[in-house]
Order: sequence, then structure tokens, then C-alpha cells
Amino acid sequence: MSFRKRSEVIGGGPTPQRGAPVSPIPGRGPVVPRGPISSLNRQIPARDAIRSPQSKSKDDLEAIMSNPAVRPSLITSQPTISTGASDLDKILLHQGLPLGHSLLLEESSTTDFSSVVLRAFVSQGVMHNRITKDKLHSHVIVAGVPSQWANDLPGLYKGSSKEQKKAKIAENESKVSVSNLSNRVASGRNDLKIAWRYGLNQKASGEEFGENSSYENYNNQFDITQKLTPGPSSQDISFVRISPNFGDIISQIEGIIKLQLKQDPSKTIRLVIPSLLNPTIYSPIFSAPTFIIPFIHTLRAQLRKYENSLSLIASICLELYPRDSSLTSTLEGLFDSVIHLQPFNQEMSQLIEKAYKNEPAKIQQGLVNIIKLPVLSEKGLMMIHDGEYAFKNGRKKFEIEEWGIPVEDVGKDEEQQTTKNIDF
Amino acid sequence: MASQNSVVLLTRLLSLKENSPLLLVLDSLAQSSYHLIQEFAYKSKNNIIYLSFETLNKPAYANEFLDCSVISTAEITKFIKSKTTPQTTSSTAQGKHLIIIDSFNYIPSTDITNFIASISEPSITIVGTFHINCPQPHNTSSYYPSALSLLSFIASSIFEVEAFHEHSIGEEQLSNRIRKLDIPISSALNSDVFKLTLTNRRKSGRSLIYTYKVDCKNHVYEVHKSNQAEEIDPEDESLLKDLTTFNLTTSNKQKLAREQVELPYMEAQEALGSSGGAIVYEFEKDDDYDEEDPYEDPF
Amino acid sequence: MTTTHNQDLILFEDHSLIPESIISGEESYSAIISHLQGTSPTWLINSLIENSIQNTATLVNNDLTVKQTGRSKTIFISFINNKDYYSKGCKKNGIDLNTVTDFTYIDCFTDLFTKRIKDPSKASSQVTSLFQELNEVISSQTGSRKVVFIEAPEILLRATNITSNELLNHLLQLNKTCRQLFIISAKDYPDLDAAMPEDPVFKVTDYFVKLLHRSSLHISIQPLLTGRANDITGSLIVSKGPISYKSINVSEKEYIFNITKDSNIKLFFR
Repeated sequence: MSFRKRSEVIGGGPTPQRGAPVSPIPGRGPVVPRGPISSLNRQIPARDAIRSPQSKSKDDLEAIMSNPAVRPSLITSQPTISTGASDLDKILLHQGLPLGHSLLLEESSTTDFSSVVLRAFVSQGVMHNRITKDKLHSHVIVAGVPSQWANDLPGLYKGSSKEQKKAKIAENESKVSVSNLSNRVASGRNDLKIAWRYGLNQKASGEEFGENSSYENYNNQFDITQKLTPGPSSQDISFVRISPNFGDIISQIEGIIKLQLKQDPSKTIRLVIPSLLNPTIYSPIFSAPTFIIPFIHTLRAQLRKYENSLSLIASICLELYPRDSSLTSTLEGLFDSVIHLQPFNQEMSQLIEKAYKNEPAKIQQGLVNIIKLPVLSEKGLMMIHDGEYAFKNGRKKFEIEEWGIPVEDVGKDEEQQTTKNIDF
Repeated sequence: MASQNSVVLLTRLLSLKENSPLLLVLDSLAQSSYHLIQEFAYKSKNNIIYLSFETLNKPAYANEFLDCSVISTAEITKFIKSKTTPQTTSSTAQGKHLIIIDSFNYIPSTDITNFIASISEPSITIVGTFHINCPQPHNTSSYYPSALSLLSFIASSIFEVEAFHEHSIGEEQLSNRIRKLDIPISSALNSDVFKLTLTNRRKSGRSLIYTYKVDCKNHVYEVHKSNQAEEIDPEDESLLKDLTTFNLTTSNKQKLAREQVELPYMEAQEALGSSGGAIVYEFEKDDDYDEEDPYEDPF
Repeated sequence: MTTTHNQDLILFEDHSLIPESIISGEESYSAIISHLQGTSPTWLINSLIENSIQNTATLVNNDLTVKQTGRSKTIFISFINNKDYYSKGCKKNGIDLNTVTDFTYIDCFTDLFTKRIKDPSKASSQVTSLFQELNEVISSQTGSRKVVFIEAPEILLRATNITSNELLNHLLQLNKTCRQLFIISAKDYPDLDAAMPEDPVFKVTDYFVKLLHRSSLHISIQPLLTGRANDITGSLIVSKGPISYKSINVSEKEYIFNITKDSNIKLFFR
């Protein structure tokens, strides 16, 4: 349960018609998800069957790298998982969050954009369990919130409108043949066509980073107006209640981790703690430094202990716990990466809306400030980037792009108008 | 003459010749009391007992060294009593003892007076440092004063050490950086030459304040005059130079002419004597005089 | 920036990082390595570990090239990292911490709040026994040539009910077991006007001010005040503390430094 339910603003405000049509999708909904799952089922076990006997004899690292949800970091080559938001993966520079590491999402103002990211992180974990039939690649642990929190998990993005969809299908089909040629996985089966539909955005990122489809299942694109169907099962997700004794919570979490790793040591475990210490979820006793700091410190120890399986994302509201408060600055020290979402104030939003009134898709909702990045910051690199990126909570994904104040556009706009006036 | 007396006073205090049982040293992150305490040790010919709350190594000058970080105040008192009873002090001629306390900051304010009272003896002089940059705990449950107020109140002399900071670092900038615990590099900070403000209390409780420049390397003390008072001279015309292209200065001839200008009231004074220049009101018909107003009485 | 010659990092006037005269001396000294968010001191710590063990500092000083074995017993205590973190980091310095015999790692991180301090709201006695254990491990090392590093002990102030004076007293005792103690602490957001003794901000500020008063060396690492620069990571200030070293002087300098993604370090005088 978020502090403000469904308060997230959907991009493209001024033209609501674009975001509205949810109608074409339900018709396809039941058909589409099944296809790719079954098709991939046949594809991946074959790959696993070859690898698994070898990986068992080798060390954990080899095992985890065989997990289709894992890829090596672009910088350090350590096993990394996707956050479910490909742009966030990009600004983390590892193309995701390295296993054994944690991310703290800070958010100023009373909005709840961070829950969009957190839910995509969960959905991504659930989706990884649907790559291979009867093989679970990941497990999600959600701490602190009731299970209803996961009712709002975003579903897969299936295109923005009928036309775009058709265009993409055509595009994909043409691409399928190209990549089939260059790809050893190619089997020439017909269902693969549908399977590719799932990998819409992997291809985009794959091309960008000069990768081939060996990480095709690494991440998906999520649509916040869609519900994840079918919803997560108890195989996918566990909920941990917060109790005043942090030792109990930790042993509960560790119990789940051990159980999951016993089933399959190559599983990735995604731990999510939404709205840390939000007073609607947490009673005041949890804000005591003797609870929260040992709790997070011990989680850090757990991350190091299960460095090839566990990763953590938590969010915190800066309105309640400002950055210069002792709590947040201590947390920033204990987390491996910290990203601050700073929604625009009213004046700024108005300015941007005015500047992009002809291009509503360009409207950003706030700044993304990087405070700390996994591995790089602890090595001593200065990773603080203030106000260099902006985020857009679009329907099709949580976009992060380089930020520039749209002043020029306003100028151009006016110039165009004035020239027009002169002409008349 | 007066300055000579104050240097003598400082020397007498440092060598414990003045009757002053508790000498409080206030230091900061910019200037530690380290050098001043060494100066006390240098001047002292007494038995030195060093009570350490934060000092790692026994100073060479200390006759006795007690690590107080792990023991109770009662044990400290016991230790001092055992070391200051006459039979053990054969080494000192006058039987006087100097107790150096490296920091009062480790003792809670509620215990501090008791602690000092328990170790005080006529033969003992206590020199203790208090770090003023440490945050002061605020006592919410009682009106009891803070440790700093208490110590300043009961101390017979207060030595406040400050750094002579260079002009490159302004006072404000320095204090801002210290507030962030970001101590700049400067040879003037924690130097063996520093500014000392001495507040000396007489028996009556009246206090006198002196400022010195202390050079611990050469053991030279001199009275420090505030530079600012000397610098700002209203007649100093060098201040006006190079300000603008206009000529702002006055030549001697111009000055003489200026002095010779007779101001209007001068003549009135000469004519009417002492009552000259007084303001005399004369009623005129256009004046608005309110009879009802009790405060309006021009006559 | 590329045209200026990069400098060797030195901490003392004899151009050393941890001088022989301190290791072989009689006194104990404390030094503070403070850092702010954005500039982690790991690279410096790795180099100091290297220097403590074998007198070299491959990455930051080109003059210190003569390896000296058995230089000191180096003990590293960390409250926020495990041994793996430093053994990986020190590989770049050409040291395998797992095989160096003179190196002892005391992990106060992994099971700090699961085994060592089970009740952070009544932590005094457990913290006392933790430090007793640390002192015993250090004392069990032979000889007197010991250099100890302790990383982030202030987490105890932030996470438990112990007072700053308790921690400072423990550190004082720990310091006496070795010749040189390096205390590594984050210095974000101190408040000299804090007034509530139970407030972690008060405790950490008090801890820091008092540590500074007893220190002989202060190394401060922070991002540039002017903001981000692509070729500069941050500034490093070496300054003396109030307590002087008996045998040697600190070489007070301000450096700016740059760390590349492959952990190469360049230092320049400011």
C-alpha cells in the first residue's frame, strides 16, 4: 500500500486520449502471454540442459551466470540483474543492479514515483519465472507492506495503439529473420515469431550496446496501466512483515533466501522494501535508530553473504526524512547506490508543459539525481550527478533521459509564431 | 606600565605563584590548548599529576599519569589523595601540586563541581581544558547550568586560546569550515604562537580581562593590542588613496583654511556668553498652539 | 590538467606515508581519515594498508618502491565491509591480503547485529566486550610494531544507545595497543549546535570533535566545493592535529585527485 494510491502521473497529460485506450489490449491479453511462454519453454531448457551439468561442477558464479535473468555488468562483469526499467539500468552504468548490491530510491515531495520503479522491479522478477516452464529463475521478497501492494504490479507493454502495434509486428518479423541468421539459438520454429514480441525492448537495448540476443530475457518493458496477468503466485513472491525485533525479520528473510537457494542455487532473489519508515505502514517504534540502522546494516551484511543471489531496492520519502537528517545520511552510507527522484514544482511543470505543448510525450515530471552508484562509488569515483537527468513516467515505461531546461523550444515557438504573424 | 603588570600577572599564573586554585583553559578546533599546557609544565617546578581522559601518551613532564577513561571519579580522587599526601611529595620544595586535566568534556555537568571540589586542596592547582567546539548537551529535565557555565563560574582564571589566523582565511569562513569539521591548512592554526585572552578573577569576584600574544617556542609573552583599533584613524588619508580618480585628499593649506572658517554659533557664544546658542521660542500668530494639550508648553 | 605533473602522496616531511619512526617509536598516535558522500576513501585505505605492510604505495607514490617485509603487524577492523572487499581492492596494489601473514582482518560487519550486539538499545556491555575482544586480538600479535585501522566505528553511535564518550574511551584503549591508529569515519552533516545527548547527530558530532582534539593527523577527502568536474574526483587535505608527533612533522598539503574507472589514481597539488 503506497502512501498515495495510484497517484503516479501518467505522461502525456494534455492529450489524455493517447493514454486512454486500454480497450484494444484485453482482447489480445489472454492470447498473447501464453504464446511466448510456451515457445520459450521449448527454447531455453535446451540451453540449460547443455549448461547445467557443467555449471554444477563449477563455482556459484558460473551457476548464476547461466540464469537467463542475469548478465555480466558492462563495467565490472559481475552478475547483474535488471531493475525492470531499462533507462534506470542504463544510468546505473552496469546495465542493471549488480547482485549483492542495494539501491535506495529517495523521493522528494509527496508523490510516489518510486513505487513505479519498485513495482517494475518486482514484475521483472516475476516475468523471469515465466521464461522457462517448471523452472523458477527468481524470487521476490517484499518486506514491510501487505500483500495487496503486489496487486498493482505492472504488466507487459504491448504497444501504444493498434497502428503502432501493427508496425512493430511487421518490424519485428523482419528483424527476426535477420537475427535468426546471425544467431546460434535460431531454430526456425514458427512460435519464435511470437516470442520475439516479448523481447521488444531488449532488441533496442541490445543494439545499443552491441549485444546479441543472448540476454533476450534479461529485461522486459512494463506498462503501468496494465496489470500483470496472471498475477504473481507464492512461488514468485513472498511477503515479510516488519516486527519490532529486526533479528526476527532478518531470520525470516534469510529463511526464505536459504529455502529458495536450496531449490535452485542459481536463483536471483529480489528484496523490495517500499516506502521505508512511511508512517502509514510503519509505527513510530521502527524509526528508532536502534531498530532501523541495525536492520539496514544487517541487510547489507546479508547482501554480502549472498553476493551472487540477493539484491535490494528500497525507497524512502525525503519529505519525512530529509537528506541531511541523520537517518537518511546513514542509510546513504549503508546502501551501495542512491538515486534521488525530485519531481518538479508547479512553476517548473507549467514551464515544461508550455514549452512542449505540441509534443506532450516530451514532458518530464522531475529530475533524477545520482548520488551513489554500485561498485563505482565505493571505489572512490565521484558519481554525484545533480540535475543531469530527468524522468518521465510514461505509460509504456519509466523513462530517464538527459535533462535540459526547454528554454530554446519556447523561443522557437514564439519565433515561429511571430514570423507567422508577420506573414499574415 | 599597565601592560608590564599584566605580563607579570600571566607569568605568575603560569608558574602558579598567584593564588588561583582552578585555571580553566578554553580551546577550540582551530587552536588547541596543547601548547599552553606545555607552557604551564615548562614554568612549573611542582609535582605534576596528569589526569588523562583523552591523552594517549604520558607527557614527559608529568610526574604521575592516570588514565581516567576507564575509572570512576571516586577512584581518581583516591589516586590524587594518595599522591598528594605530604610523605609522597618529597620531590617538591614547596609541596605544591599541579593537576592537569586534559579535558573536562568527558565529565557530565552534574558531576563536575563535585569532582573538582573532591580533588581541591590548598596545595593543589588544577589546570583543565574545556573544548568549546564540542556540542553542549541541553538538560531538559532540570535548570542545572551547562558544564561550560559552571566551569567558567567557579574558575579563578580563564585562559581562552585563539589562533592568529591569516588574512587569507576570514574569521567567518574559518568558523564556517570548522562547523563542517573541515579544518583548513594554515600554519597559524594549532600553532605555538597564539592569542590568549585571560580573564582573571580577584578575590572579590571582580574580573579583569587581558589579551596576550604568547610564543611558546621562545616562551615570550606580550600584551596583544587589537589591530583594528590602531588601524582606523579618521585622519589617515592613505585610506582615501586609489579609491577613485578624483582627488579626495586635503592639503595642509586646505586644512588650515577649513579650521579658520568661523561657524555661525561661535559669534553668538562670544556675544551672549554661556547662554549663547540656546534655543529661544517666540510665539507668532501663525503658530498652532493647543491649549488642551498638557505636554505642549513652549514657555 | 594532463600537462601538469602528477604528485606523489606524502603524509610526513620525510616523504613517507607511515614513517618508520612512528612504527618503531614508543608512543601511540591517532589519525583520522574523514570523508564525505561522493568520495569514498577506499583507494587511500588500500594504499595505506599496502604501505603499512610493505612500505610501498604503488598507486599513489612512485618514490616508495623498496619493499620491506615484516614492517608492521597490520590489523584492520571494519564495521561496514567484509574482508573480501579489501582483499579485492588491494589486488590492484599487488597485495594478496589472504596470504600476507602480517595482516589480520577483524570482521565487525557481517554479524555485528546478529551475534555481537543483539540488543542495540542496551548495547553498553556488548560493545565493551566487543572492544575487549579487539584489544585481545591486537595484543596477541607479537612485537610492538602495530598499525591498526578501524573503519566506521561511529555506526555504533548511530545504531545503538552507547554514548560518544563510551566509544571514545574504547577507542582510546584500543589506540594504546598500537603505534598508529587510523580511524576512518564519514563526516556528513555534523551539527555543533546539537543539544540532545541521545540524538545520533549529537553523538557523532561530539565523537568527531573530540577525536579531532586528540588526533595528530587528519586526512580529509571530499568532493570539490565547486561541484562536479570530469577530470577531478575530489580534494584531499592532509593537516596536522593538535597533538604533535614527537619524532616527525606532518607535511600539510592540499591535493586534488582523479580516479579513473580502472582505479588509477592521479594526484596534483592544489
